[in-house]
Amino acid sequence: MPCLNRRNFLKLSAGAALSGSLLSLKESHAKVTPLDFGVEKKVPVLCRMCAQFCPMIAVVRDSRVIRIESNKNTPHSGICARGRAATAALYNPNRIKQPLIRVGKRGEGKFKPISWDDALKIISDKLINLKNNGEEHLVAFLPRFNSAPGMDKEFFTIYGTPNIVGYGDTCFGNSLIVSYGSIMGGNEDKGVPGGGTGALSPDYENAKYGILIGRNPGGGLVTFPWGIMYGKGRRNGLKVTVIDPRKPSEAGESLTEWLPISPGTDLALLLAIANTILTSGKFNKEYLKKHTNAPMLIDSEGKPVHFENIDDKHIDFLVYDEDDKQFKLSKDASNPSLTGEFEYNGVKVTTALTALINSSKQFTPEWAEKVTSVPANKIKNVAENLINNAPQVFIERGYRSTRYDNSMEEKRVILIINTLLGSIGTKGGMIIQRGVKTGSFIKAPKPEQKPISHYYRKFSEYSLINTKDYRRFFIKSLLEEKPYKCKVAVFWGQNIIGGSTGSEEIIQALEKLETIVAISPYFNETVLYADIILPDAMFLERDEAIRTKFKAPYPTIAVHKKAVEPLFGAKEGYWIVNELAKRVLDSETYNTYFSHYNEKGINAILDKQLSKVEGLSEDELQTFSPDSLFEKGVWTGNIKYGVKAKTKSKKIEIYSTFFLEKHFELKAANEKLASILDPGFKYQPPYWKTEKETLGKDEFIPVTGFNPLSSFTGAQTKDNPILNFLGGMVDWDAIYINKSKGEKIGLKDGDIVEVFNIQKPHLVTKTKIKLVEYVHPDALFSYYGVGAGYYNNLTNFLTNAPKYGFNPNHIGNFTFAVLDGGQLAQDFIVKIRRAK
Amino acid sequence: MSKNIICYDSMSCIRCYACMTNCAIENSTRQFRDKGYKYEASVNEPKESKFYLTPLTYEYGKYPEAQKITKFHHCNHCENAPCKQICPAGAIEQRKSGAVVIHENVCVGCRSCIDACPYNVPKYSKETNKTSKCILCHDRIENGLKQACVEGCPTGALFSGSIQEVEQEIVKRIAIYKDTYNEEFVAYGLDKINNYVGKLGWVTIIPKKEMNLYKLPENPRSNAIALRNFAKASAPFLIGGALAATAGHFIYWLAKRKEVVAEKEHKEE
Amino acid sequence: MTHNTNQKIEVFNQIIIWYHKHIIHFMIFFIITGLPILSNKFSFLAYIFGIPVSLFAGANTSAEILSIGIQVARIFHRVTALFFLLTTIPFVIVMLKDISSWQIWPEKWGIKPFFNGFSDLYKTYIKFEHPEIGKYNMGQKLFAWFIIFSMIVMTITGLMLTFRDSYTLEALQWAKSLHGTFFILIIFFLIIHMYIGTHPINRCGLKAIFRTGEADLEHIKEKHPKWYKKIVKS
Repeated sequence: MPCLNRRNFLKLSAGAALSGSLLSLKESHAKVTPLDFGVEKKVPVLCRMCAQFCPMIAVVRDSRVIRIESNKNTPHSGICARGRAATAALYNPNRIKQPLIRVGKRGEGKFKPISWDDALKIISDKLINLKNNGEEHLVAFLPRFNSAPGMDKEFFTIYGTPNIVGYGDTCFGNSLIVSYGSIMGGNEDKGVPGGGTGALSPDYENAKYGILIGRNPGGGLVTFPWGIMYGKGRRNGLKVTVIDPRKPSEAGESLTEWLPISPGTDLALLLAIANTILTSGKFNKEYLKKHTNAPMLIDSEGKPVHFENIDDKHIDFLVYDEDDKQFKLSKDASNPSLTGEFEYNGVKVTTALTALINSSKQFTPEWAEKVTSVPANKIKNVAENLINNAPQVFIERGYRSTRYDNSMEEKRVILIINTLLGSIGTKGGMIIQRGVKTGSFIKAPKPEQKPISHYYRKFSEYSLINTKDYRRFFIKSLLEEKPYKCKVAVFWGQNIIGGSTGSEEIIQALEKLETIVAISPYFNETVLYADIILPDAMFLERDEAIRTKFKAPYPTIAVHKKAVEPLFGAKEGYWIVNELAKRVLDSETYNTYFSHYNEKGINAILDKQLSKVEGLSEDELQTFSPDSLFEKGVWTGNIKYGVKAKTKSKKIEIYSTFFLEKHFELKAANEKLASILDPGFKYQPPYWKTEKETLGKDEFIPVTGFNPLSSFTGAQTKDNPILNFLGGMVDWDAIYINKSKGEKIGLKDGDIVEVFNIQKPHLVTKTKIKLVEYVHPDALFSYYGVGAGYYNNLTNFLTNAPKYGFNPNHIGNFTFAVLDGGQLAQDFIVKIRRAK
Repeated sequence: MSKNIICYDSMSCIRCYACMTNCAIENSTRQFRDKGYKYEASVNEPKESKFYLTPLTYEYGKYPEAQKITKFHHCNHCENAPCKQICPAGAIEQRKSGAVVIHENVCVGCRSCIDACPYNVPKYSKETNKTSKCILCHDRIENGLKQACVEGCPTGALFSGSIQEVEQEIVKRIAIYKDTYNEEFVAYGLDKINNYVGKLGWVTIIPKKEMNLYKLPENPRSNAIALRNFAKASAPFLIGGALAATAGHFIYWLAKRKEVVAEKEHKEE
Repeated sequence: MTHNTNQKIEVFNQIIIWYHKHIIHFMIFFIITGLPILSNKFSFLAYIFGIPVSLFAGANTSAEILSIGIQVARIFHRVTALFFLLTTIPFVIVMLKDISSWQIWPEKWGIKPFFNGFSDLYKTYIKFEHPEIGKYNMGQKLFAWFIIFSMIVMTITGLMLTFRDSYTLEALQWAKSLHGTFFILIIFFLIIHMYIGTHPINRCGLKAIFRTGEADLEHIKEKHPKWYKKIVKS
């Protein structure tokens, strides 16, 4: 005890002395000063974690991109989770690091590294060989996440192939475009009018009420500007009703009405809404009179009874003027009649609107309830909300449009309803896009041969297909070897196997090619089938051309600069194209088109682009300058409200004369197809309903939606360690079914199950299942592209990505929607059972 | 540096998780900047300790009246930070901005803060034997930037600033929501909630009737730790009382003894 | 006072004396290492551990020194707990063998005996008289039971806090709370115990517990009459 006492005493005194200089916590962690944030370099880039090119800033410190910021120089600045995790995609060790050549069987995934020289030689030798045989058209170039805009498609066009095969037929490139063109008119694709995906933007910020049908503005893409506009709209008091087989959290979890609907029956519900609006007479009469062809007089066949050319491009139609009881051209009438029956030159005529009203009569909410499972009173309520809040209302068109056989008509009816409410071009309704165009670096001469899509256009059941976006027709042409059998396919960032429905047939088709080249920073299902693989630089590693194509309703011009040098052996897209061009083209052709790039690099492209800026108004031209553009990274113009239709009649053709024409063209040959093209209302069931009126207790329709953390089948998100961590917390790789339906077949939340298409029972996919209350009993919901799917040896290459999971494309049917030729991505029946 | 508070507006949130992602990325940046740890390695090591913000999902109701709630799980930077009160190592600091920060190099891994937190926020890592949680990006806000999550939010569902600025915006938004939905809304944490936590440095706007769905307790408190705090507060009185009583008794006994001795002497005389 | 006989009676056996000495050492270590963990007001104790260790650990700031001090305190606390368990478990086993002959059981149950016990305490410590008590008065018995109970509580909660992963958050919160609360209560009662134990009126007891283990039978007859009767009977 005594010795302790002495020691304690000494200790106590030492402690007392020191307790005077007590703790200063500020020194015990790293000192951060403004200099730390000042040494960072900020580079403007356009995000490619999905394909929307949202403007953002890459922040670089010590030659590393360390974080992403949004570019604050737009009215809607913001980046989603995917973009924020771009650095984890950049520094992903699973990236393709050098050119590879296949050594095993196609799809096996056995490759051997080769030098860039060797790889380029193999590819260019093949291209030269085909050129020498006059077989340039047998080379297909399939770009998606391509990295040399302004030069890549142009190279292949100069080379001589007409087959620049866009991917859009598996997304928006059919029903959305055709439905828009038939009502609003627009750029003609070989006679079929259309409009882009951004042609209409819901005016979320100023709308009072909106319908989200088959779309979710959070997980679905287009953060700039739609996601941001939606959030702002909510802050401004926007109310929405969500119509979806699954209740999406992104639309809002509190006080947000959800109407669960049987998959593929959205058209029925929309018809009932149109019916309610039309039979109540509460459509926007002023708007219809002024901006649409609703008052157009038609005969008993439905044809316009009289029209005149007013210039070499436009016509005007006959109406009945209420004010002086005269028949006139619409431009001369002060108060055209919207409804009524008249006699004109002995012919019984009525208005287009009357025809629509009559054709909508049978589609009552009570009828729709039987088809959709949505109660009639809820449908009526939705219609009432639209009517009461019109015209500050919108019905979303959706983005990825063709999923069912009836998608085209569904999208068309959405536009008709928007028109009836007077929302298109109105503040708080739907904004018509204003675009801007810049000059092109290369004006490539058109090749002699016609693309594959022109061949299929000739068939009546494909008379409305997109001639620029036709990747599944490319596959069809390989299988049928019509009009010719391609020999080479170059996939630049396009995953046709993972991203298109009917992977089994797609793989069969690809096997028939002599050479498959894949250019991509990451592995995907298609890259595994390639013979030669070139490692593309990731988007943060390259300069790019200026871009003007955005979903923003206002003109947008944006810049993309290189933030860091390419990692590993990856090379920028422009370098790859330039090297191929050097080897493949004769020196005269090469010098004509590419020597400029050789001298000035990216500036050659930028100079050409900025030499011509078209589409801006006077005051917008004042605010734009190239210097300011490069300093800020992006320039934006103004929103303009007002109705502008590009139809022949210059009116919104709520009664589509384009469809009418096509209807009569096809009537003799194919009654069924012709009936779909009737400008009035008609109901077409989804394909699955024609196979089975009621689903069995273990049968479902595979519905997908975007997870806000993932982007298509892309490894930049799926294999991203940061996004994966969060994704795991929200079960992003599971499938979701209705809880009580699942319990009835003996399943539990968290079970591992097997899923297969009843028409392809040999393709069995393993996945985790979740039983939840927020999914319609008919639906089997999964987040698009997250799961490994059936063709899952990709998981050997993507070590972070989910090992299991469902991809409907892998097991879907290789069929086409009639007329617009889209894929029946969700329109088939699957069965599930517990895994052994 | 004046007080800086964050508000999360659940009504304009699109559940895109950009906030949570940006937070994890910023932590990888911090490892690179402050500890010289290779950025490209850090970003490939997603650990729970890097994700200060996480989503917790709950389901309520039955189809078709189903409701899924994604609770935004984060530190509330309580005014009376119970974690700071309990930390024996003095590792938790409350900065002038209100940010409650665990200093990793001082943390001893005792997990007392986890016991004290009524919101189940701090996360312990077995690997490093440290506990971590959101630091309100004090390094960013003290250098004029917004918090990483606030900067990350594309819809402005997260916003931050001085108490006046944030309060003004909250009042504005709640007025619009009340008018739109005809429901009562609360700004959870803007006013003092209880003595255990005080006000919060991170306020949440939600419909009042959904407070329990979002698992926002009306009385956030660990009864056990509150008892311990009470015992600690009473201890000086208790121990002081014991010392006083014993001292008092000794004096009393001395006095009594004097009496007895005096009496004895008196007897013997 | 007349001293008739010098007969000695065993008051505490060697095992009890051994255990009591050890428990005092353990209590000192528990308290010194426990106080800085319980309250920042006792951080100076952590600095006392921290400063010498910091010389090796290369800590620069006072915050880091405190941290190291707390870590040292926690380690010492758990090491002490280990030794505490190693000595207590055999002690308890041995003591339990004679549980029926423990002197700390109440002699009579009921409200009246309880109040009688209180009045005995008053007589002993305020009036300095010798009431009819056994070996232990009610206060000592209550203290004994309190110590047994709180040792159990401290052991269980201490083990829970050491092996945290096996318990829910709520359980751990109560473990932490009870560990701290009982710590304070133990100190409270220890102060009183140590005072009375070392007080001159308890000189014989002090000698017995720390040295001889014995007391004079005459002394017992005078001050613990009930116990004397028991001894004489056997």
